[in-house]
Amino acid sequence: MGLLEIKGLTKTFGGLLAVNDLTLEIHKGEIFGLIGPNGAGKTTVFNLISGMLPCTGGKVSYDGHNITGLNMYQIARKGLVRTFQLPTLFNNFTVLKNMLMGMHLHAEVGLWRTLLDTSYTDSLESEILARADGILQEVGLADRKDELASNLPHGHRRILQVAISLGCEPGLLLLDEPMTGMNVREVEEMMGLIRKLRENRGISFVIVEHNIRAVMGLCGRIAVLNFGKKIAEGTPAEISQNEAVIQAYLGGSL
Amino acid sequence: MSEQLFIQMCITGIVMGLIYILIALGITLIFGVMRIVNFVHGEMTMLSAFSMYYLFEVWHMNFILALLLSVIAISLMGIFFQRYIYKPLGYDILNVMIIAAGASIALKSAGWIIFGPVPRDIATVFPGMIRVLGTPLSMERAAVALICVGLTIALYIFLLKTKTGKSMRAVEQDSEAAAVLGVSIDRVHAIVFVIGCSLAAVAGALVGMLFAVEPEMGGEPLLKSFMIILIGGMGSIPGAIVAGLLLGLIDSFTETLLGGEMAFIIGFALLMLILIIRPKGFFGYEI
Amino acid sequence: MKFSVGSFKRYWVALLIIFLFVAPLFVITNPFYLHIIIMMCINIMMSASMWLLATTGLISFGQAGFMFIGAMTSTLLVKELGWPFWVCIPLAGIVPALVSIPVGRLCIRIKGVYFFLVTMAFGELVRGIFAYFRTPFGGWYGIRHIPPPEPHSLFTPLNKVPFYYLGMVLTLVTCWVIYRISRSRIGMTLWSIRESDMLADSIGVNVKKYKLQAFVIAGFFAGIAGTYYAHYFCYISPLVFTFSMSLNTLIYIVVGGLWSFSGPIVGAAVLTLVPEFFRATGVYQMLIFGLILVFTMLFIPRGIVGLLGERVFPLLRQKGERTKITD
Repeated sequence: MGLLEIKGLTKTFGGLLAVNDLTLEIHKGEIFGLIGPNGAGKTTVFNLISGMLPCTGGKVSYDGHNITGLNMYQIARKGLVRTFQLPTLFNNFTVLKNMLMGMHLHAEVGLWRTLLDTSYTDSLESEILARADGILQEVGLADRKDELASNLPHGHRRILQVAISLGCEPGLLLLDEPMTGMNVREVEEMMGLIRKLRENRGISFVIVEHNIRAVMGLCGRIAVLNFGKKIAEGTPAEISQNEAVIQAYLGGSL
Repeated sequence: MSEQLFIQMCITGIVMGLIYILIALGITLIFGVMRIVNFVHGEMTMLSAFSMYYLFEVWHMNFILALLLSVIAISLMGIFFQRYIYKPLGYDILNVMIIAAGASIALKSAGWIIFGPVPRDIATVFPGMIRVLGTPLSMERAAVALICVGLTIALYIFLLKTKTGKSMRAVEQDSEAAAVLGVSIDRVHAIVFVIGCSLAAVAGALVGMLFAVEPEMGGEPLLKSFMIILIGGMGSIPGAIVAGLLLGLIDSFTETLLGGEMAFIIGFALLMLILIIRPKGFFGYEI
Repeated sequence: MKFSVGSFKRYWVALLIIFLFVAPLFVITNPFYLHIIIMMCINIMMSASMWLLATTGLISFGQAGFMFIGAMTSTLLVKELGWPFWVCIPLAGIVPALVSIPVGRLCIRIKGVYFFLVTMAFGELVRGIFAYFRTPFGGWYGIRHIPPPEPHSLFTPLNKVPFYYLGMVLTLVTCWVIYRISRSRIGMTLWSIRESDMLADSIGVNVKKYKLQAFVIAGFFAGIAGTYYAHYFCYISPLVFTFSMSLNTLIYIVVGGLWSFSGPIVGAAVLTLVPEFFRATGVYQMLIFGLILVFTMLFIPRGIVGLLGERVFPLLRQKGERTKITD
């Protein structure tokens, strides 16, 4: 049984069929790639899986639980977290504060406790702070922790996005174009980070990316989407030979 | 209920609806193209009415001339707001809302201070009565209705046929694409405000003619316009027309049959209901 | 010795509070000044509670409505049922809080500008309903001769000092609660929702729950402010708790500065003084407030506190400590 099972996932917007009967299975420990031309529906698939959009049809289950129809925050609680295509951060927070927010699931305190039980909240927060520092160390942002997130260069914003999602202690991370806008060195760093996270934390990944070289280098298996439909699935080698895929990318070689 | 009363209520409803539509058109146009809500629209209505009062009623200027001057004055005010108050805020809808709320209360208070609370009256330019379906209807109301309809049609033709109108619609769809195609966005913004505020100015003159001219008069039409826009959808002109007529009729019936205070409650309950059920309206854009 | 802004502020605030508690005994005996501070208390309670909600990104124009509900609750309980005032104070907060739960549930999923409209409609609806039913709500004429708190011998209309102390206590409690929340994890979560509710959602924040929580808290303290108002002025009516009042509260927050807790406090305090000292009431006050709001939005967007934070305090601040959202 896979970690993430998607069966017959479908989404229509009015008359437009954005995602067409998608079936995928992601295994634990995998780095799975999702590619396809622009407008193929990749981000929509993420939006559907993560609960941001309701499905028109199909079923999604994570770690054995049926998560179809759940809200995004509920799905995050189960261990499935996604990042966004744009470098969405809490812009007016410092890097550290962004990270502290990321730890929300472990740091939530009720209203009454907040008002009355200072010792509990204080000790909880210092524990959270220590863990947040640890994650920032792990991703390499520790030296920038007091900077405003809005001041970060693009590459670091992407890394911070990943760091924040680590706070949830996810089992599966959906990364939406994590390397877009990065230079070669930054792409290498991100690839290294993803591998490291898989090694050290046992996190599985599904990555939507346009950087084909990175996808080929990083992913064990890849699925290709076009017009909302899966047109191919397999190893990087298989995909690069696949006729339909090459056609979809308008004759470009992979 | 007598047939006469029923027709009377319908006519009142339609006339009121048409005036609200005029105001709503201005707001929805500005929203459609610029994605901001001009909350001072109500006060512009009020100031135009006072301007008409002083120019036409007190100084006996020619009606058309007075109307023209009022419209120009309010349009200039609109451009001032657009350029010096809304633009510095980057047309951020929430910030615009807050600053416009402040401006509108300042204008309304200034109106109170300068003009005093006593309602004024603008003498009718259209004397006489006619009969519609057997019920009497003042020429004034008939004229107002015709003016509203005329302006609405004119606006429609403007947007569909003229070059400026088309560039406005282009900016409404996609301002970046329009800019690339050579449309001057600033100019379009200014024109949108001129048109929108002119509509408010005319509406102010009409309301002033039909009813009283007083500093508080801007509030209710503005609220009604919002209800229209919310039902019909922000940015949609056909929506505003349909919703305006509907609302005018509902208003007219509740006022007559249930009394002013209940109408007050129903009005706001309705507004809440609309917002809760379908904030997007039935034809319009999401904010 | 390290000199941080935090301790600097804390000493000043403590000093100020002590001064305010001692003042009526020696320094401030003029009832006019006492009245001003009482008005400040009311305004601070309103703006602090509305501010907490605003940190979520929700600007509610219905706070006057909740204030009215709170005022009406204790008024009716004390006047009609003869309950003691001190029992009614918490109820004056609880009843609007309870009302705010279903209202909030319906309104919170409405975005941005529409939320402002729907809360405004709610505020007017409250007025309309209280105005429509002459009994027991007093209709447009309102309710007069509201009994002051017990003991009546202490809380006479002539002696403002007990009201002053009551106000101070209520305001301090309100501010303490809201300050604690804003500095806590809950407060940070509320801010994060304002920054990006989408991102917050994706990392497990139940955005609706937090927004509702802030909404209910705001309603609660608006109710408390309302009951204090009612038993001080001894008269309430739909003409008091208008949209203007809600707008005024927003103005206090914007002028004081949205970005920190001290903003709404400073804004409410300063702007309470303005009309009193310029002898501007009614429409003149509204005119000035409207202009101040426009001016502030254009030229001092971060409010008075933000301005001070950028100009004055950096001189005192430790190097390297730069945060946009200040203490």
